[in-house]
Amino acid sequence: MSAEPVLAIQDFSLEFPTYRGAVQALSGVSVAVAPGEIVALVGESGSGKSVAAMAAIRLLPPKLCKVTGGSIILLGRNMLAESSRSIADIRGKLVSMVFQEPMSALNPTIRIGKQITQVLRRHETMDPAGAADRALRLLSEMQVADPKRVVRSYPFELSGGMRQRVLLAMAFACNPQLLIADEPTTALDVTVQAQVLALLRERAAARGTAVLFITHDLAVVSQLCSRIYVMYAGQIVEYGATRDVLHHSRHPYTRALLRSLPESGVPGAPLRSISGTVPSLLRPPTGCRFCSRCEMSEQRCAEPPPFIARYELPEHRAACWLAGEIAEEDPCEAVSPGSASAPAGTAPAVAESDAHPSARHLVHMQGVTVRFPVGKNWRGRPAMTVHALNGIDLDIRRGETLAVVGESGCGKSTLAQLVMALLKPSEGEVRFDGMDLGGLTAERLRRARQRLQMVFQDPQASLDPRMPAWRIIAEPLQVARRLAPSKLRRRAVELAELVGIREELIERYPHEFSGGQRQRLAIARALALEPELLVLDEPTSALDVSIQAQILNLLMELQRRLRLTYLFISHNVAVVRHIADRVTVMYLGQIVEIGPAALILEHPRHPYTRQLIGAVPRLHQPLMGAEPPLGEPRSNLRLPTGCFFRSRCARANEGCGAAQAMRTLADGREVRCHRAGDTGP
Amino acid sequence: MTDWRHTWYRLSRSPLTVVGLGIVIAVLLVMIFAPLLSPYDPNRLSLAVRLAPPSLHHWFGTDEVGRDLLSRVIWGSRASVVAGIATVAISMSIGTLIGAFSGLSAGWVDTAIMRTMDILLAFPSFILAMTLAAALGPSLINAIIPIAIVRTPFYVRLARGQALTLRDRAYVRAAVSFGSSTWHIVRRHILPNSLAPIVVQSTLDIGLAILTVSALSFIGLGAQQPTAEWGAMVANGRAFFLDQWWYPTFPGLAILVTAVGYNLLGDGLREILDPRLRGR
Repeated sequence: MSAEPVLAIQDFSLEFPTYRGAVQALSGVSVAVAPGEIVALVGESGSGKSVAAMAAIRLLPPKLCKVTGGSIILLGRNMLAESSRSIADIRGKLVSMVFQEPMSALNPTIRIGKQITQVLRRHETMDPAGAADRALRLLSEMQVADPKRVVRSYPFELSGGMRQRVLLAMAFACNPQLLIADEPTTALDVTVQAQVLALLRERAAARGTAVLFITHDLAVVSQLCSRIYVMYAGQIVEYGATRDVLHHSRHPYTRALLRSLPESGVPGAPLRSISGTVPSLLRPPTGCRFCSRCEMSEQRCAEPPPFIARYELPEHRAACWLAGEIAEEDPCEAVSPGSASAPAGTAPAVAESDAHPSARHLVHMQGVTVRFPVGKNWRGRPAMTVHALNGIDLDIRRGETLAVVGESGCGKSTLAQLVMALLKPSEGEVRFDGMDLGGLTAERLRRARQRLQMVFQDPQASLDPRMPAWRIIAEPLQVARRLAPSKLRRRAVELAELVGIREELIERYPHEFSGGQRQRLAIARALALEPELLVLDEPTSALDVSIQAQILNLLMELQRRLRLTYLFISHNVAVVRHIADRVTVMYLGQIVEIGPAALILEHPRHPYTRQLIGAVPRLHQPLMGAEPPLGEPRSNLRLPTGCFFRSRCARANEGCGAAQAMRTLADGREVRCHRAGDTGP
Repeated sequence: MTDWRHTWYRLSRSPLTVVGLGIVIAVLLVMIFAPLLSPYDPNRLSLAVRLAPPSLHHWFGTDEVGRDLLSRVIWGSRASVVAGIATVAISMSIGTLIGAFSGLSAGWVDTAIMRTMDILLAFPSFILAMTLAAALGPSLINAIIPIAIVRTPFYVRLARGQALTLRDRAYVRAAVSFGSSTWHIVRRHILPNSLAPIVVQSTLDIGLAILTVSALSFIGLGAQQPTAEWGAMVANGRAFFLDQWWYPTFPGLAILVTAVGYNLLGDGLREILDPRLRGR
């Protein structure tokens, strides 16, 4: 920290004028990034983390924001005083940026090579051949396989992970002193995320580039960053070395955030969520902004708190009056993963005694295959076939939560659509409560569908913005039961109260609710027809951690009260570990491993599951790292022979050339691998 | 409520939109209060003051049979603006409904509707109007119908595009999953959510429709004598332009100002209703 910082944001304040008044997006934010270090800026959505980073390189539209104080010094230059011309010279050369969505950050009409050479030639005098040569070297440095082909490709021809590597190559092209990465791996699968993070850390270290890493994911931070700044409601509330902040946090907000992570709870038990909501930044409280949600607030919290450091750690400071008095213990030490002695692993409490399978199994799938034709050749026949699901045998037991995990494209969503009877299998049958969903008449299918409901990923998109909340909740009743408006309303009030929305709010429109409340509305709507099975398609992945905890608690409580069965689709292993009774892991349209959640997630046996679980960043452990990195997932246009995972498997041997069948192991799980019974690493 | 305050806030930052809105409101007021505002009966002949220049008695002058031009321009707003609004109202309501269903139904229904619209699009409105006038005799109504028909495909395309994007929204998929009918989805989800671009398009269109109706009247296919109508007045005044400039000029200005007003308002609405600019 002794060296001159690359980036120094000092007491910076910024506001956005709107018709309701000025939104004070940043208030007195100070961030320093030293040469070569990786610094995290974490916070929930709306905390101002991206705004702070964009302001640092003047990427915010000047008409829409107003700087109200402070300074930004980047490499000794006052960024607020530079002309926009010289800012354009700085960006891309001295400081560069990597964004969240790699597809929209690349121009879809220009070949990759051209996009990289454009950056090079903008900032350095270089002939086209030299630039093309540099682009190739950059790509191979970013571990892009076959860079010669990639250079000639268009962005849509590359996978998400590949695109993010290309963006990293562009960001590193001119050897910047500072790289700003705004949630660069949020849109990627965990397996790819692990590779991109490792690459980012390695390349930054090799080139001595400082990184300002913006994220909401504390586990990623613990893997990657040396220091961390925690933001809340437009202010920095705590900063210090990553280990100190995450394990000995002193600000009540940081502590509450860590406690609300599913990793910190006992599986199946309610999580400790943060009550209340973030204060409006139109008129933020004068004192501590977390005061109204803080369990420990006192009288003096009405005054702005100073940054208080601990005597022995002057670099770790928290903006809290009580920071000196907060207990030392690790806020999420309650249960350390791996030592969970929780009730998990035991089968769900269902009527096991009933031997008749249709009584125990709400959904029964046998030999289900789904193929989609794509494209048309010159004769109008499908040119290719997507093999979305390949021989699925799956039972969903009454009252259980069955989670489905896997990379994108593994068939999770197709499975959900099958269960929802929105799609018919190409082969095999799907039985719901004993009825073959494929063989029902239209009328009976309509009635069966009422017993199956779905909660979507993005609550913003799943609620019609032009309907008041009570109409949204009651819409299924209006459609399916044709109730009178007064009855609809009464029922909507009951449903809203069931999910914790007060009656006086139900005249409001979706945009007047917070993200968590919107997801509550979506859940209320799904419950309107009193379904037996809820398909939850990543229901918390669009939500902040503290809100996620509330929604998970709600879902678990509803399941107990209403005896619901859940099919829970997610890529978040920690969430699945918390809520699921059983887990099924999918790869290329097949189930590769299925069994009790604790077994599968803590002691995976299939090589694919091992790599998937190993790639998940964890708060308390370094990356498992023992597993070699996975390559790109195979295309499902042409199915491989033998074991589907063979080409990416580090432990493949000659036995893998044969098609693999599910084998039941002694501990009750089923695995699609002929070596699963082997002991060893 | 916040929506209105927000609209007003955006409006106040865009002076040209306010000008457009002012013109549109002013013309509507003139149209409604024509009997109170006009100093004379628009159809009263007074041969003593034929082709009188603008004066204190006749602000816009008089025409070749001594009718007060100001009164005729005021009353003319009824024919011209009502014809413009009616044209757009017909094409918008029919076009939007067809488009929404077309976008939702997909498959051959969609293809059939869209190809029909392509044929309609290829029809020049003037030729259609001339045919209709020849068949049914020239009148304002017979000028409105062909313009409405020819403008319909634009709304069909617009609404279909909206329906195609909205169809994949989670709330529409949710509605499908609990068994909603197509009509329910169109009425509850598609129409309310595609209103913004359609309102913009129709505001812009009213200006265009007023121009087209005036043009049809100008060539004698629209409003007939003695109805006061701006296009017809310009046509009659054309012969007197060199000596009595006021005769065609004032009705012409009325057309120009009204059309510009609707266009300014439409452009402004496009920006105000643009969801990407929300919350700014």
